[in-house]
Amino acid sequence: MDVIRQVLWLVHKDLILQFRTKDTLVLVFMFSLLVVLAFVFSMGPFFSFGLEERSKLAASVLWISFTFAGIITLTRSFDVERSDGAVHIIRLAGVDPSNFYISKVLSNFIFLTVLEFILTPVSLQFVESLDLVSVITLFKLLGILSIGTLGLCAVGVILSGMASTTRGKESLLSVLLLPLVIPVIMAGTKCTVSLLSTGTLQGTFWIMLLILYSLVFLTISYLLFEFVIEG
Amino acid sequence: MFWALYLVFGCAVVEETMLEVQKIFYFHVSSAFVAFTAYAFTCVCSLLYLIRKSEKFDALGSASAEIGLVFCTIVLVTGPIWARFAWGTWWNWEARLTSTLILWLMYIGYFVLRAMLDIDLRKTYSSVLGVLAFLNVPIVYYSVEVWQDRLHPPTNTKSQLPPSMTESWLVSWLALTLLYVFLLILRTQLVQMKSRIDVLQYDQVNR
Repeated sequence: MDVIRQVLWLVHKDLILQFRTKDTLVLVFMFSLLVVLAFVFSMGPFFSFGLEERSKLAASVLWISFTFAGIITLTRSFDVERSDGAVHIIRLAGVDPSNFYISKVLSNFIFLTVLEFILTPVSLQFVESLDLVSVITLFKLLGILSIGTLGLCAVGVILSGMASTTRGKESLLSVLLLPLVIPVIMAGTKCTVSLLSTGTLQGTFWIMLLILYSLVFLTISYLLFEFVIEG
Repeated sequence: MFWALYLVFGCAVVEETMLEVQKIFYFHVSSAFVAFTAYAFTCVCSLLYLIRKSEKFDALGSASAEIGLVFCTIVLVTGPIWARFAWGTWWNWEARLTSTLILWLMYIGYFVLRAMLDIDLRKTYSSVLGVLAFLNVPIVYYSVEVWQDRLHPPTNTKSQLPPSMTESWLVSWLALTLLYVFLLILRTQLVQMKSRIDVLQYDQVNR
């Protein structure tokens, strides 16, 4: 019971910080929107090619922009903790390192999922794919995106905890994180393409991979996070 | 090593369709074996370091990762040369190729992380990354295998090679593994010496 209370308090604290200061919120939101726009501008104003190709474009736009948004969000969420030694104060308050890990995963997950829920329809409209999908498919897509985000956060939080102690924060985090989340990106885009072009998931392999990946890395990082905080 | 070179270039049968280029095979496959061994060893050492907190395991683990990176680079350089002649292309997204590339990228990250950290955090953090990175390898491998159809021969083709080839391959594998062990010992000693120097310097400055 104590565990849940601790985690909830920490998540509450993180979300209040995020939504009151608003700098991360605006920054990440604008950044992902601009990544989507950069894609659109590079692929040309008319998307006259076939359904399959268009779904591929939409999938890559979404996953690339959310992965980068994730990198920024994760870096910022540990910046707050590392400056002024807030981590040590949290530790002194008697918070267990693994509870701290869970709370960080949850708060980043919630933040990114909110971002995805807002940006996904907009991005789909930008690549002229929104009117092709039904509302149910859109919700399925958001489900896939949130599982992928969970996997991203599971690995990202532990790596960001390490990268935040160095000078190179964001760039170091991307060098460490991107090779590790390649399975998430692959599985996520495969699911997205098949959802957008057929409306259903063809085969369960990729969705199982996403779930498995999230679970494996949640468990391992949960066990290893203690070392990252203790140093 | 010289014995291996002699066998590879002197004794083994020249393969019919690929002629001399086929000789890359002996070093390519052996290097790949050694690289994987090195990374597995790094993962084990990292875990042991996290449990025991003994300097020795950190030195061993990082030295092994470093040598692994060298062998991995050899694999990635010889691979495309082989592929150009065998498949007519320098690169394709086949499972073993892709996972080796990602493995290589992850261990570059490992050294970037080590270079950026202070001495006390470096050991713990790189050990954590050593464990995470190695566990990712099978997941990457299986996902790429489904992502793209396979082109590499299944792993049990050794029995189909002519005996002189098998012998040469085994000897070159043995030679490279011995080279790895030799380098590992040297490198570990070097890392330990270096950390001793760091400690001495630190004492000198803070006296």
